[in-house]
Order: sequence, then structure tokens, then C-alpha cells
Amino acid sequence: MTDVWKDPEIIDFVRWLKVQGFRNVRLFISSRQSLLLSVQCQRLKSYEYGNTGIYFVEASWEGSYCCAYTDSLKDREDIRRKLTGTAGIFDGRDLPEDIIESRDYRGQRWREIDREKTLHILKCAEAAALSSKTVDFVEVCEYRQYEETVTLIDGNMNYLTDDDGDLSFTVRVIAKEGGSVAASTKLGIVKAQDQDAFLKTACSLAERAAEYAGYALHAERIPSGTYPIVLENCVMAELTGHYLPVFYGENLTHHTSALAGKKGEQVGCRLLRLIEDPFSVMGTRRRRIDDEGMPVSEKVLLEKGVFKGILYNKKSAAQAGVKSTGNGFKPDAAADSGTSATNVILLSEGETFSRREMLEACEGGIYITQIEGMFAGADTESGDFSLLACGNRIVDGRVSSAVNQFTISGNICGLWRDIEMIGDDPVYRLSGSACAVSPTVKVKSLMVSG
Amino acid sequence: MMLAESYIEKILDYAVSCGADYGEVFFEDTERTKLTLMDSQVLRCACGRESGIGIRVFRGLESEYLYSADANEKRVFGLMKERLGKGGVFDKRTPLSRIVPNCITMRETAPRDMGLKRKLDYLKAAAAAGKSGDSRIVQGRACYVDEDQRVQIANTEGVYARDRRTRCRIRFMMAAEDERFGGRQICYEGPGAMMGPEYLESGRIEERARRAARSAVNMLGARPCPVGRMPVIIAEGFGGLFFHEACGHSLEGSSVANGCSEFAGKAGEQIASDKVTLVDDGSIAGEWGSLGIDDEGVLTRKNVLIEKGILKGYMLDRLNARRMGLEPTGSSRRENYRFAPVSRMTNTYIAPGTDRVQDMLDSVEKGLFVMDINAGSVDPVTGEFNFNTGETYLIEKGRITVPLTSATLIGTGSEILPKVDMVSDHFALEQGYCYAGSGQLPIGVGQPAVRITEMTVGGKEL
Repeated sequence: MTDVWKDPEIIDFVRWLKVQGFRNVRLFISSRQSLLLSVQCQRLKSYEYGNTGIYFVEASWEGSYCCAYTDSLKDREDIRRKLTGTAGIFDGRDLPEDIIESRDYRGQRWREIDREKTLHILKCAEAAALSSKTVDFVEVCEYRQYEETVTLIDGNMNYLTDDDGDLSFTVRVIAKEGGSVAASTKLGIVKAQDQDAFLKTACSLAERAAEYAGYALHAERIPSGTYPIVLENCVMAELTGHYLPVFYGENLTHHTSALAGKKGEQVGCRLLRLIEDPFSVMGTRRRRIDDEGMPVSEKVLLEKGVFKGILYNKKSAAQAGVKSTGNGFKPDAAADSGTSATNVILLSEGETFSRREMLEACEGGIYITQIEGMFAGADTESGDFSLLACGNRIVDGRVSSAVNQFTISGNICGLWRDIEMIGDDPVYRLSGSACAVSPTVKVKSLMVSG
Repeated sequence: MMLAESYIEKILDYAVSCGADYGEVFFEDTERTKLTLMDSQVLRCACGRESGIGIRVFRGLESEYLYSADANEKRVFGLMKERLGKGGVFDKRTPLSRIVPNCITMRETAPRDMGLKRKLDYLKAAAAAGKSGDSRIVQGRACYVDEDQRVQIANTEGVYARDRRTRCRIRFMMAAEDERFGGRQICYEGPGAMMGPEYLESGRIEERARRAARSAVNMLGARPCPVGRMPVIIAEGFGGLFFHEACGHSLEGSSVANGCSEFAGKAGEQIASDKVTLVDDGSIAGEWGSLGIDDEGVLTRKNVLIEKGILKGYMLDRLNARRMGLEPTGSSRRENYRFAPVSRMTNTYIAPGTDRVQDMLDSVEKGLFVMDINAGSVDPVTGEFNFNTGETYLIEKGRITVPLTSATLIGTGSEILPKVDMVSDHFALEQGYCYAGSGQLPIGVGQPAVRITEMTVGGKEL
């Protein structure tokens, strides 16, 4: 992306806003490009490339906050109409502040991939999955790349700019055997410029997906009851990402968080530590400022199971009488600012265990490898969840026969309290704009309905 | 501001010159307003406009899709030259001819012609009406969205169409608390229509906020849902999401064309009980999930997917229809120009039957009565679906007894569809969103009350 603060059209637009009588002007500019390449049956399935740009304009009009978004600065009368239309509808919203010092935090630089070489790698990965005798079809085998640059500009043309992006590979395989069907998905970050490393990672993920789909074949029902549980790393990372809103200041203020009124209380086991670490190499997020221009920072959310940290944007911080924690992120570029996080990482306060050690300690339990239904079945207001799950029985300390078509249910605080062992195998999963990282965990028990 | 037809023709000519055997242009200019209200306070507001172009080409079964927020000719041709090739292959395309979309928008007022403050007043009044009926309602939230999307769609097969899609929806969330019971109960109502913001003036909105409030109060004192397998009755209306997930997604071209769906290759076979007739109809005037023309320029229509239990057809976009050697069905959709279109549902419903709800209740010794479903999802390959229920009650000896905290219903489409043994005569269509491959889309779901002889219920009490 170019240095937009030098763009004559933007300079003129900001000047025009001031002439029109707008004050406290602030522009949020998001510019994004993304690419997708996928194969199926050893040929290109789809290739997609695109770029988008959005301007989110904030200002004050006759002393009241106002805002609007647009993808073009040309229809100025329309922008003026939308800005004045929103003025006065917000109660007590703080006006945008000037940027004290211009800074450029950008680190990413879009690198074009070699399409043919990338196609070759994807075909190799598909072939690797298909080499498993139970794999019938590779439904998804794709490479994705995106980069987003955000820039904040104030009425004096001071600016802050930052960017983020990643390069990822996803594979989903379908295994079939004797009328039984099972699917497994694996994904990971790749180094697309290092062809050998990319090939190795893609083939390894494809082989693991094939292996997991094979394990899931001939799944049986399981009787309802309470079972000891091992939640695989990707499952716990998904849960961790989904429940991030329980730490958001706005939800705690409005009593729409399962942690409302519990600051300082023991909400998890003493082993449990949950942090936000924008600088961790385990996560995929690389932002240095949030969408409101506040610096991101490392913070502790749960310490020895005690609820310690709250994530604030400027608005929720002002309501709580504290400072923003640098967690003002927009759910999308055209939206008003919300709350989110960078990399949120579940850790052990003490010893960590291998997956094998956890399985050996979980006789008669279930190893959960996949959950579905998070969107509706995991409620961040109450903390309750009831989710479709599948996995394998644990027999003699080992992963045994596949089980599916059952639900696991409980409450997130109850689950945190019941964690008995934390693993050493962290993986990431994206949850909105945040990245959640978790290892495998062993939980005392969960209710299972089969 | 729409694109000149001559410019669109130039883009299609270039696509053909790159050796593509199909080329398509989609352009949109969309104005949108989103408002979120908690009690009487505005939490969020976003008003704006964005436009963009999407260009898609097929080479056999390979698809390439380019999109840009900047539809400027220099930018677009630069993108095509860089990504599709330099052109130079001589080929012809079918000249463009205009297609007139189905007239389904009931708009009287364009969204931009009603001021934001007036919209906000209607919303506040409705939320207040919901809260006013019972002191146990402790919080009322309302999310409003209106959208005015103008699209142009053209392709190398000669289609040229313009359409204007104006939609409006409100989602109420009412929270009830009673210190005698502890715990907060939240219920939802989400009416919407293919109409302008005059929808807010219809008077029906306040009643929907009150209904959400009544449901939340009814749920106070709810017991943990029992686990296990039991009969389930799902009431008319948004319960239709059950069929949207249990078999709708598995009948979309993106699932069927590669042979992975549990219903692939089963056309003509009995896949449900003979009580089940499933329809997807994107041409219903005024409905939230409707379109005058789909996002590939095919007129929307009524597609009968299952008739008396027999699988009759699928929902197909152009690429997947090509893969299957069939014709597209007017089912191709996308959230916006950033997404390539694929087959998606529009308004999906089960046709009414002849059974009475009271007879359904009388037939159940112990089971669930689900008034509303919050949301669900499915894996079309395995057919495994899950739903989280909203207002739900226990049925004991033919009588509705106590409310139950939200249950999860699971199963597979092929297992459950034959178990639909009663379908009532009272039908309702409701509105929501579907999140899948080509983004977040407005959908209608509907059904009369249905009884399923046995389902797995996930709850918290053994």
C-alpha cells in the first residue's frame, strides 16, 4: 500500500471536511488484498484475487460525534449527509482525539506467489492425502494469502499505520470404508516463498488429515453419561477463541458476559493461565496498534485461574473510568469500533504434559477431536455450551474406536475449573480478527448425550 | 452510479480473448445502515456506501475470480491483464440482451429517504413496547439493518440484467430475570422483508418485540434439558431452520456436484417420509430471502427439492450445474462483490400437511416441544447437523409442562428425514441469515409444526 497520508485526494478531502464545519476529524482507511488458489482432482479448482478499500470517517458536527463509511471520497455530498445524519444519536460518545506523533508500524509486504509452483505443491498435498487407502476424496486443498493495511489520519494529517496478514494452507479430506464416511480438516501457516518448507508443511498436514479421517471411520454411538475428557488442542483453541467476548469491557458493563461481577474471583483451576500476547510467535496476529490507534500490549486475563484482565476499547474504557487496553478492533472495516484481541494464549502455570500422558491419565474417557455448533451452542452471556462432538474412546491409555453423534455440554467456567492437565502441543485457530492458541487439555468430566 | 453497458461488453470481450469459455461481470452499489440499540442507548451505528466489481471466467471446470473496489477501467483491465493473461485469442460471445428480473421488492421508500433519527425513534418505541409489558424484562436490545443494493449482471451467454434489492430487518433480544429463579433468559425475534424502511411503520414490529419479551418471561425458571433420545415437536416458523440445515445445505450444488453430499446421486429416491415436501423459492414477493434475479443473472423460481419424500432436484449455480451436466436453478448468491457466487438457499420451507398440533402433543409420552430454534449448522458430507433451541418445553403425557434451558438437537439428514411422521396445517415463514461459502446471506425459513419420532437431545440432566 502507498503512503495514503500523502495522497492529494485524501489531503483535499480532510480539508473539505473542515471547510464544511466538521471538527475532530479522523479517517480510518483499510486496504486489503487477498488471494486464493485451490485444487481438486489434480487440477485447478479456483483462483481468486481481489483488493478492497474502505474509509471510515469520524468527526464532530456541532459538538456531537458523527461517523460514516464509504469506498470512495468522490461523492462528498453523500458523505456529508450521512455524517450529519448520525450526529447526536450517540449518548456521550467521546470525540476523536488528535494523533500526537505520526508512526509507521508496517512490517508486512505483499509478495506475489509463483502460481504454477504453488499449484504443484497443492497437487502434491492432495496426492499425499489420497495415498491413504481410506481417503476417497479431497474436498478442500487450498492456499490463502491476505494482507490488510490500516491507516488512521487526523485533521492535521498526522497518521498512524500498521498492517497484518498471513499465508495459510487448508486441507479437508473425506474417508470412506464399508458405508462409513468421515471427514477431517487440518490447517496451518506456511512459508509460501520457501517452496521446500511449504511443500513439506502442506504434505504433512494432508497426511495428518488423512490419518484423522481414517481414525474417525466406523464411529459408534456412545451412551449418555458423564465422562472424563481430553480436548484436542484445536478444539480447545476454538473454545478459547469463541469465549473471548467474556473478557470484553462492554460485555462486562452490560452484564452480557459470563464473567460479569467476577473480577478477582477464582473462575478456573490454579493451573490455568490465559494471556494476550501480540508478540507471540505461536499466534498469527502481528498488529502493533489497534484500530483506534492505541498500542497493543501483553496482558494477563486469567492468572492461576483468577480473573485478572479486562479488554477495553476507548469507549468501554471511558465508561469504566480506565484507559483503553489497546483492544479497539473493528469487526469489519465498515463497522463502528468494537473489541477484540491479537493473540490469546492458553498456558499452564506449572507442568505441561504430552498428549500421551494425558490419554494415559484418562482411562474410560473420550478424546474429542472435533466440535460443531459453536455459533449457536456456546453462549458467551451465560457461559453455557452444548455442542455436537466426535472423537475416540480412550482405552488402556490409548486412542481407540471412533465415536460420533453425541453432544458435550457444560459451562466455560466449569470447564476451566475442571482442567486437570495442560499439554505441550499448542495450535492456533482464528476467531474473528483474533487468534486463539491452546494446547490439548484434560478435563475431569463433561456431560455427554449420545 | 452503474457501469456503462459498453464498458461491461469490453470486459466480456477481454475475458473471451483470454481463452475463457464463460465470462461474467457483477457490479454492485450498496447503501447500508446498521444500528444497535441497548435499551434506549445507541451502542453502534454504521451508515455508508460501497461498490465494487467481480469478474469471473471459466475454462472448462476451472474458475478464476477477480474483484476490486475500484471499477475504474484502467484498474480493471490492469487486473485482468495481470491475472487472466494478455488476451489475443479470437473468439465470439453472445450479444447481450436484457432480462427483466421478477418484481419482488415491495419498496415504497428508499432507505436513504428516511432519516436515521426517525428510524431510531421507531426502533426505540418498539424496544420500549417489548420492555413495558412485564417488570421482569431487564434488558431490551434491537439490531436494525436496511440495505439498498443495485446490481448489474452480464455474461458471455448474452445475459444483461439490472436489479435493485431493498431489504429491512430488525432483531429483538429481550432478557428476563426473576430473583426467585436466578439466571437470565433471553429470547429473540427477527422479522424482516424485501421492503424499504416503511416496514418499521407497519405496526407489526412492536408486536414482535412483545413476543420476544413474552417468550423470555415464559422461560424463567427453566430446568436443565434432559439428555437422550426422544420425540421432538418443532413449532411452525423459524423451526424451519431444521430443514435448512438437515437437508437444505446437502442439496446445494457445491455439496452435490463433487459427489460428497449424503444426497448426491439420489434424485428420484425416497429420502424422507412421504409427509415431507421441501421447497426453495427465491421469487416470493416481499420476502426477506428473495431475489428478482440470482447473482448469475438467472431468474429466481420455485424449486421443489423433495416431493412427498422423493428427492426431485438440487439447487445449482452455473459452475456446479456444468459439473453435473444440468441447468442452473436461479439459486446462485453472494454476500457482495468480494465473493464468487455459489448455489445457496433463498426461502426454504416445508409445505403444510394435514395433522393437528394437539394430535402431535397427544402422541408424545415424554419429549420436547421446540417453539424456536436459535441457529444451527451441518456438515453436508456426513450429514451431521446440530441446532441450538430457543424457547423449549418438556412434553409429559401429551401435555406441555415445564420450560427447559436451551437444548441441542443433533442427527443426520438421512436418519431424521424419514422420521418426520406428522406435519401440521398451520404454516409460517420467518427470516434470518445463513453463513456459508459465499458469505452472509438473508434467508427465509418456514414450516408448519412437525413431529420427529426420535432425535438425540443434548442437555445437562441425565
